Amino acid sequence: WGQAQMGVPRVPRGSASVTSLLSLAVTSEQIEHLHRRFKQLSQDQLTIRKENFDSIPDLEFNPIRGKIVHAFFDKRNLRQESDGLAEEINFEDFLTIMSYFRPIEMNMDEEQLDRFRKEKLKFLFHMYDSDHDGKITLQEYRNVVEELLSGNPHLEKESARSIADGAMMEAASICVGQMGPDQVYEGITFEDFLKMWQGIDIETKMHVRFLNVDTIAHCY
Amino acid sequence: IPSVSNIVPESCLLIVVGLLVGGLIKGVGEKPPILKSDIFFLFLLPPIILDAGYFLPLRPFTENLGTILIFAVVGTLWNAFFLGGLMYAVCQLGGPGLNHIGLLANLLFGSIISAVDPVAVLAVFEEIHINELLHILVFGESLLNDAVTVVLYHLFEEFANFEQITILDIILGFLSFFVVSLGGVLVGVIYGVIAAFTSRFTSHIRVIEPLFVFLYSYMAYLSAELFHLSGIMALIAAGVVMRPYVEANISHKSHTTIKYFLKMWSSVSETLIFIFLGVSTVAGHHYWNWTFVISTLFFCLIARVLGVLVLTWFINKFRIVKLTPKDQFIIAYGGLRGAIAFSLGYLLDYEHFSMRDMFLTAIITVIFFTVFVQGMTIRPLVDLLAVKKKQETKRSINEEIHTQFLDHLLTGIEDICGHYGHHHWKDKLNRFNKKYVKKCLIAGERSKEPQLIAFYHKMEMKQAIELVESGGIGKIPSAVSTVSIQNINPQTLPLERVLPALSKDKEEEIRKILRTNLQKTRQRLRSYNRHTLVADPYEEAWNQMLLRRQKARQLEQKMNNYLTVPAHRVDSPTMSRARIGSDPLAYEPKEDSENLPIITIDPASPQSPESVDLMSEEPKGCSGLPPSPEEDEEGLVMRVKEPSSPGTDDVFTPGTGDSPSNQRMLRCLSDPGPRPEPEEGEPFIPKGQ
Repeated sequence: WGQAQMGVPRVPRGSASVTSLLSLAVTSEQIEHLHRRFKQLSQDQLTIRKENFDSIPDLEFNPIRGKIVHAFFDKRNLRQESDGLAEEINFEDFLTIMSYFRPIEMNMDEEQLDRFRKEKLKFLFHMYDSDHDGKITLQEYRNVVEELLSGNPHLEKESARSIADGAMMEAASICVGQMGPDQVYEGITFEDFLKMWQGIDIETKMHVRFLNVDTIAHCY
Repeated sequence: IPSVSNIVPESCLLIVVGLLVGGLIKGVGEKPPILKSDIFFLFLLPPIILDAGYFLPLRPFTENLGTILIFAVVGTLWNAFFLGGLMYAVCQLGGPGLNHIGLLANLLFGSIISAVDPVAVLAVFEEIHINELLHILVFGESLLNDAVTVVLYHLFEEFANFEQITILDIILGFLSFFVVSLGGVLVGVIYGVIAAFTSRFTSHIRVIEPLFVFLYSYMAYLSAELFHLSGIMALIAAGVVMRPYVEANISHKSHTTIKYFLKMWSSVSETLIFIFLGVSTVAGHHYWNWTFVISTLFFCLIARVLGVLVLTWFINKFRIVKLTPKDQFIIAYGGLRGAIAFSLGYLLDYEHFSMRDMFLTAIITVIFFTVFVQGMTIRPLVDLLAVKKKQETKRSINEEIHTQFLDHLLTGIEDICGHYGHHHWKDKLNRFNKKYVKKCLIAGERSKEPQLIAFYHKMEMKQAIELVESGGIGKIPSAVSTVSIQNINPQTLPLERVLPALSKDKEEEIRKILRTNLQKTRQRLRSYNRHTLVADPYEEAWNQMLLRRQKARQLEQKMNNYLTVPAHRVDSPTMSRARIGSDPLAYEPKEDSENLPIITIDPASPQSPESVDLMSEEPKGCSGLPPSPEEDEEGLVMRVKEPSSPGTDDVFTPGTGDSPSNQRMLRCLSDPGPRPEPEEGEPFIPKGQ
């Protein structure tokens, strides 16, 4: 803990935006801890690039590793107006991404809750929609399923394909209902995505326990 | 007008029946039987616990394990000591009738009465359908507090014989708790692993597969009880551990058998337990002492409420999803006592506990009160408080994909944060499971099957079975969606199947024809089933079909095969019967280059029926099909026969040498039905690329 005094962000540039963003969610303790982690990943630089994520050993086993790393650099998640991928991110951006995983709070009202939920689902949507066109096409969905199954090298692409096709058809029938044989379902838009996630409580599931205000911070 | 069963839970009615039966027997002059403890613990309780453990919803259970453990262990301890202590005070003040009851006896009584009973909780909570979280909290607590009850019971029973109790004894007692609970779990895990391993080799004798599940579970229970370890925890651990591996190994019919047997046995046990409770009430010797009984009842309720309040306040500091006061009320109110308490009380012997009858009376009163009053009023209270009810969600493939995606995402984020949390360890356990454990315990190909694929196959299987069962009746399910692969992937890539436009009417006509023909062959299906008991050709054929499909696809990629049929034959019913794929659309001939093999089916020809072999090496009657030397299995055989008379009903007349199972499979899948199945995009016979 003594080491933490060094390099604690006094007031990072653009701090107003950071603090307003995370005003209720993250304590200064946790910002410190995340900063330490950031420095470890960036090897004491000010920014992280994609290559820095290779230094995390456990991430190797994750089948959707590529998408996760990509999400950190996705400008839409970083709340920047432009589109595309950023080359490198600084600590403020790192915190922005982490803020998507903050847990629900007791004193939220309906509207806040709804916004909260939409934010998280938007993050997920951006992960599925890799070409940034605002909808998840069949090819992208197939890509997702293939990545999920990528840990099994002996499987063929056909199985992943048929699962993705079946899932897409199911999504189409949920979102649009009856379709004639001539209609084409372009892809899953964000509204359809919201419909699909109705049954799952994303606000309680999508959080990292670490960002809970009362949790004891980890030292390593 | 609400019927009786809407107001009164089943357990209450059963107790009343028991009372009546007991009264009847007594009235006749005979001695009614009492629920003996060994019958209860050896024969009546295990089926219920096994049923609960085998079908335990693992995900919510593990997510809330901390909360459940705190309620089970700390809550029960608190109840026992609080109640015991207060009853001791009551006894001291209660006059000559109660003075002689010592502290230990009271503590023993407290420990017997304090445990929430799984049988009673199951019986009541099954009917009120509250949300999953509350259900698993109360139910999990009732299962896990068995260890505490066992330890306390034996401890106090032993101590009652001692002259003096030292600190060492107390410490040993505390340690014995860990031994009992962890030992029970260990025994359960060992037997679970053995059962899973055994099921790996049962592919030739499917009939006895259910037996292994029951046998090993019961042995786990008995072994644990033998060493005074917690039998309930052993049973639960065995069920939980063996389930994923056994399910992957056994046939579909065995799975159904296990499910229905467990439900049947647990139902019977539950009924018997409650009836016996009623009879025992009438039959037993009672000693009614107003002070004792009323104060027991009162303090039981107070102890439960206080315990839940304090513990929830503590637990909420660590929970993400906090427990609201409504939840707390339901948890406190759902603390029902049941037959376990009665049987434990019955086990006390007269020499050391002369007040046994009084204890039993008090126990029965508390049981009656909780089951009748709390059991009956919990349902209107749930409605009144608008507690969230259970949502009936159907597992869909989309949800499965999303859930897995989310799991991996959260694990990834935890790794990036450097935080070894819940997801990290779960992921590690999964990887260990996949790498080592599954290879040992699951037979054959399925050991490498990822969860998503397994889920998908299960759903396909379910839909196929539903299709067969409803296909002949001609009723179309109401929530029909006409979404097909064409709707989502309309582009004709050269590698994809050609999807010509077939008008809706023709499609409908073809489907109708297929459906009616399927109906007529239903009789044949049944007669096959009656005789095939040991071998399960339906399912074997299904598995083999899946395997073949995989291999066929491989072959397809090598050979670039496709099926061409002269377009003008589309309308003939014979042709439509001949089509096996789930896609009723016709195929238009593509422009072919000379090296692409062509398989022609010409059913209308007056010559002898040609047999068309797709994907097989012997190109009998087939022109231009290059032999494929490396393929050494039979492949899918489609035989098209010209029906000899116009009145032939069969969709397919079984060809010689063709396995009946294959035919049945083909018949079953030939009717795509109006519902889209996931497999529609991937037809039975792989089409050309």
